[in-house]
Parts: sequence; C-alpha cells; structure tokens
Amino acid sequence: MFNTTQPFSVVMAIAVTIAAGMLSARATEHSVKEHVVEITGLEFVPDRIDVSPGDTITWVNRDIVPHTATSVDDSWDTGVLNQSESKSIVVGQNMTTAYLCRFHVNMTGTITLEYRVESAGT
Amino acid sequence: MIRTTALLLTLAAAFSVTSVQAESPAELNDLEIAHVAYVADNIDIRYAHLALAISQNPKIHEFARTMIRDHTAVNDQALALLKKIGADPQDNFLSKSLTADAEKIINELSGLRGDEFDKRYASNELGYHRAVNDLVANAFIPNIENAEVRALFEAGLRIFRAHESHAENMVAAL
Repeated sequence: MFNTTQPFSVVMAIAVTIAAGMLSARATEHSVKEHVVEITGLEFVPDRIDVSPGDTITWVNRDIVPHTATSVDDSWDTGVLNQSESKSIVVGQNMTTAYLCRFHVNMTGTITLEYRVESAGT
Repeated sequence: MIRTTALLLTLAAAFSVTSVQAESPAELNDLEIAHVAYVADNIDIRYAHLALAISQNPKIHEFARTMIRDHTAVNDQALALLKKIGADPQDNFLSKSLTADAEKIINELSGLRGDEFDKRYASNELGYHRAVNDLVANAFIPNIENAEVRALFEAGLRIFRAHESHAENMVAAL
C-alpha cells in the first residue's frame, strides 16, 4: 500500500515511470527482428535486407563451397562458413551496409539500416 | 540440335581428342563424366598451386586460393556421392586428353615469371573455365542419368560460372 502521507503527484509519477518502463521493454522486445540470408548458387538470398540496430542477421551457407559475408571495409565478418554452417551477427549502430564474400568477390549484398521510432503501446 | 552437335564437336577438338574408342563427350556414361569432372577439378588445383608458387600478385594468390578451396570442396562432394551410390569413376578418352593438355600448359607456365606468368595464368583460367563450363552445360548435364549426380553437376556449374566471371575480371585488371 502507498503511504497516504506521500503527495498524490509523486505516487502518480512513480506509477507512470514504471508503466513506461514496462511498455518500453515490451516495445523493444517486439521490435527486435531475426533476418535470415541464405547463401545459395553463389548468391546472397535475399541480397537486400532492411534491418534496425539490435536486429539479428543470420547467414546460412547452402552451397557446397565455403563462403563468407564480410563488410566491404572489413569492420564485420562472419568468418568462413562451410556447407550448412551459419553465423549470426547483431546489427550495430552505423553498421557498414555493403558486404561481399571474400572468396567470390562478385557475390555482394546490401543491408539497409532503418532507425525505427517506437510508439508506446506497440 | 545442329548447333549442339557442332558445339560438342568443337569441344572435342578443343580437348585434342585422339582416342577412337569414344565418339564424343556427350556419349560418356555417368561414371566417365564423374571421372572427367574429378580430373578437371584437379587440373585447376594444380594450376592454382603453381600460381601460388610463382606469382607475386596478391590478386592472383586470392584467386588461386579460391580455386583450390572450391574445386577441393566439389571433388570431396563428388567422391562422397560416388561412395554413397557404390560406384567408382571410370577413366576415359576425355580425362586422358585433359590431362595431356594440362601437362603442356603447366610446362609453359613453369617457364614464365612476373607479369607474363600472371597474364598467362589468368587467360588460361578464363579459357579453361569457359571450355569446361560449356562441356558441363551442353554435353554432361543433359546426358547424366543419375539425379543426384546431375544435381551435383548443376551446383558445380553455378560455382564454375562464378569462377569464369572472376577470371574475366582478373584478365581485365592485368
């Protein structure tokens, strides 16, 4: 029970803060997405994906030869993915968006960074 | 049909067909085709090792390492598949012809250094992949009877076409 001597406005402020925190946590939980890029026939499929910071991208190699997904500036890299292997990377703020396979430089992919504006209650 | 026949005859001539036992690449059976593919992979791996030993060009090294990595992976898959179906690849006129031609090219490449080597290696990789890709697409895949073997060749062809494209870029850059 609330202390009846506390001003009503303070109690309401605490309640609103807690509620906002819960809503924010729920919104974050719902907004994080998992994206899968399959590597098949020496192509990234899809070769373009829209992601937001905090999302996860998983590259799965369906080819019989090894591949990588490597940013063009080498700032991130899945490492070598042999057949059926996968690697997940969490999307960072200002992540480099153009990438390729280090072994097959004609294999390219693009990440489009979207900075979503969360609305309370969504 | 006439164009395909003409292409196959051209390919046979390109590979210096000397045996009288076989009519054309299109008449090879699945196990002979598997043997040709295995030999063709190993030839390109040999070219790549030579490139790593002789060339000083990082781009050539990068391409050569990709050839070793990819052709080894494809051959491993082919051997695993043959083991699974309980069959052994069969030597044939085309495998022998490819090997004989490769010996000549390796001898030629071994005598070159610097830019001369790099340009010859790159142009040979482009020509070799073009010829083998045509062979696989037009003579082998339409005639392979085993569905799993055909699927492996179709996957291999996608990889080797990417190599051909990579080789085109390499030739243009040198």
